[in-house]
Amino acid sequence: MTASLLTSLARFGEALAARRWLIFVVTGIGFIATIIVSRCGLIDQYVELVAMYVGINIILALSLNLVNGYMGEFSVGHAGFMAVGAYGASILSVKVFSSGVWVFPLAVACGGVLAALAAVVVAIPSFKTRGDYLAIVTLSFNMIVKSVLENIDYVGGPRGFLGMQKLTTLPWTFAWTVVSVWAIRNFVYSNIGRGVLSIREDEIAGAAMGVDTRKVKLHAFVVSSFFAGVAGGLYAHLLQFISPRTFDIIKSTEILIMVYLGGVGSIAGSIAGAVIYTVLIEALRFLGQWRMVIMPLLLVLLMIYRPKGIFGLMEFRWFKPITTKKHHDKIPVSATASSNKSPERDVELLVIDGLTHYFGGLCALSDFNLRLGAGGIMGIIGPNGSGKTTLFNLISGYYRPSQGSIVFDSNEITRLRPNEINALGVARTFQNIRLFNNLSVADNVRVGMFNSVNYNAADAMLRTRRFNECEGRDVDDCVRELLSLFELERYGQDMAATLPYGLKRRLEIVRALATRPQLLLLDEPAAGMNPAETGALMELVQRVRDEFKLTIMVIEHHMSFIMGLCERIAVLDFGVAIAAGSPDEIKNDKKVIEAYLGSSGLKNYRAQRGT
Amino acid sequence: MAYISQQLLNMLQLGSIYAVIALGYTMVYGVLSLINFAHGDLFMIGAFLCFIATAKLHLPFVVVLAVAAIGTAVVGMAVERLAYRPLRAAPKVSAIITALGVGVFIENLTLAISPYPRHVPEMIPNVSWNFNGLTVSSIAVLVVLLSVLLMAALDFIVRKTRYGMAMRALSWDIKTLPLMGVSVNAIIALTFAIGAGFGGAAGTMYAMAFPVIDPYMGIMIGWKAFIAAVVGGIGNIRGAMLGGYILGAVETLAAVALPSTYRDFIAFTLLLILLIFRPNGILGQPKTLKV
Repeated sequence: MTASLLTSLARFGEALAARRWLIFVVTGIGFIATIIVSRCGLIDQYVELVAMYVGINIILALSLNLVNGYMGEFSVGHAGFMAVGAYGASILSVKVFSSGVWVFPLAVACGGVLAALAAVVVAIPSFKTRGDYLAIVTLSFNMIVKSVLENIDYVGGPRGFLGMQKLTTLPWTFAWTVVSVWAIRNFVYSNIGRGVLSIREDEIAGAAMGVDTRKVKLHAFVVSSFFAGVAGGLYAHLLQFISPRTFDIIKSTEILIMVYLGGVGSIAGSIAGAVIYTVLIEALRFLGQWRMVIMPLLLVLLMIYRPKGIFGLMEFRWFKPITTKKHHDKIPVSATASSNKSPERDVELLVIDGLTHYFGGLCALSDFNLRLGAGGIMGIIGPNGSGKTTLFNLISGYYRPSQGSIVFDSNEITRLRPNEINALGVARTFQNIRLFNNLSVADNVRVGMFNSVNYNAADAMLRTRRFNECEGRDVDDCVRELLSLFELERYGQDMAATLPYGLKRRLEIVRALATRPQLLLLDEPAAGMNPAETGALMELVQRVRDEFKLTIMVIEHHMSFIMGLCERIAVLDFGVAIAAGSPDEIKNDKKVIEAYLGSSGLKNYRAQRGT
Repeated sequence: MAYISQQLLNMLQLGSIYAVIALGYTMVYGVLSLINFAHGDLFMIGAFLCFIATAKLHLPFVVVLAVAAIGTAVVGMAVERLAYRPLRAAPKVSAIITALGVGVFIENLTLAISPYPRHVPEMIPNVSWNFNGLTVSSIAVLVVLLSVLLMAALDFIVRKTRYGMAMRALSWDIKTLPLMGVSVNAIIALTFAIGAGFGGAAGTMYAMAFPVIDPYMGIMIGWKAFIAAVVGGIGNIRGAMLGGYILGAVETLAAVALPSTYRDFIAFTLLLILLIFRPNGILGQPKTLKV
């Protein structure tokens, strides 16, 4: 009985979700209903108040979810931003404008802008630290805001700030809530939103794909804080009294609970979390102080039994973008891929001079020199710990070399950040695959196109024509073509984590190609592959080189792979380049054999060959 | 001159309390890489246990100290067993949020049981000695001596005993330690017991020096002690002691120069500035990025 009821309910929900135009109907009816209800006093004042709390809490939960859920950073002092917005808006409405209902939305927006400015203080430390240290920064921010407000007599100091008119009404709350949902949803499903997700999934890989992590973090913090400030402004004009204690760590904890109750990384989750929490807290009012005992207990239980919240990463279909099926005039990826370089060149693509890197006292790479022309495949071999990956990390900008210089395509890249180096045309894969596991295969590739779009965050949030054109034609077509070129098309909507091992390796290469590189660094692409798979990979690498007109550097331990594929090979041992040359030269190089087999091995080798 | 010495003594007393609490943060961080946000509230429980033992049971000071330290240690172990252990394999964010939740839970539970601030009666006779205008109270002497004793004991345990060795090993590699035949759960429980016990002892010392206590007292003091741990380099035991005294000094100086309402502001601003320029604290080791 209940089962059949549930299935029919689910079917009803599905039918609703499939009809996207209903969004407009629901929003429109909702807005009109709120106006009628509040004008004519159709509902109990208490119910109306709770409804407004729900709206404000939805905005708060969404705004925190952007940072904690989508970006995977860890802000625990969100009430600080709310305080900035609340005080900012209140000062404007009480002391500056002093009258006029129509000034209200302006005051609230200004409060949001002030909070967004304050966000810079938190965003800058987040460039370097994350996790628990960022938690400390945000909490300190919360405490500092509270402490500063307590010391400003102009806004009443610790006694609080009075005098706001009750300007927050049900229709206003509804309108701001809809705007917040719309704008944050649009932000998340855009180029910069994919950058945000890449930071959550794997910041290092994100930077390698050209994502300017600093810019993305700054944007996310600013947008998130703006809406927290808006919520603060609404809250202040609803309560008509604010004090520094209103926005202490308890308030921040409340917002955290809503986010983690509903679901991290889900807009529907934030809405559900805010609704459930607000209603529950009101329903439990009879418990008095014990209510505040149950609330944190709920949070702890959630973390233990359902750490990703009710919705988890799932999203209600209304909030997802529509996937277009139509094809546009094709610009072949392979042609655009390397369009920014001229094929005939006399300068070398990569020039490395005296590159040296120390880890503490250990010299991981010593005086490494390389001149690499365009178009070839170069192999880097050497025993474990010989400095191969260190070399790649230096080229792609993860380490700053102790000495030496790297010049790529006549640009000095020695001190650039990974995303800047990627933007100049160097892409890489990683020894231990670093895909964005919780993103779809297609989105993994889309992140690779971070620097290929020409719209900004405002275009994305307002869904301007520039956004639609760029996103629909350039990005989608390019991704589709890349996927079909490498036979990953049918996995497009699958989570990257669900791919089999070999396809993960392939997807990592495709994702790197999406950044339109001139130089591709492959770090042990055949690790863990059997001979058949290795053979297929060799063909793939060759195909990539020919079709995309790339230069490739590859680290590998499979000798058949290296010898069969590379025109040139460099051999590292204990951080020193001991040999360089063609595969045949390397095969017979005394030092190389010694490095791999030891000096007694060399004797055996000679004995076998009878030399 | 006397004024300066008086302020120095104040610094020493405040710094001692911060240092003892900071040790609890740093020990737990050392073994689990978890910021135990509930630690400040364990300190508060220590102060309340001290209140019960003194005001209701009229126990002598040494017993009061033991009751507060052991009682808080038991609560600390219970928190670890019930809230943190199920999350040991979970993402760090879940554990931190849980810690925050446990803290708010303890605060509000105490508030629900005992809503008003309490006055802790005198535990030892408060005698003041006067040296050329410098007033030294017996309480200040006891607080400083007791904390030095506790810190010396901890330093000995961590550096010279088998259990200390196991704790240090745990902070390096939680996966290998069980292969060496050491029970990870036992060592973590022990770490929490010592850390929380120190919090309880600090609660007693605090109640002795500043006898009005309330359920929310642990939030601010706990945060300050946490700042001390971070300033010294979180995870580093000697760093926590150093950080405690630095913070005590900064706060005392700030109180001399500025209105007292700026004290928190200065402490947190100090933390932010330090995190930007020296994110690993004074004695902490920087971590290397692994690609």
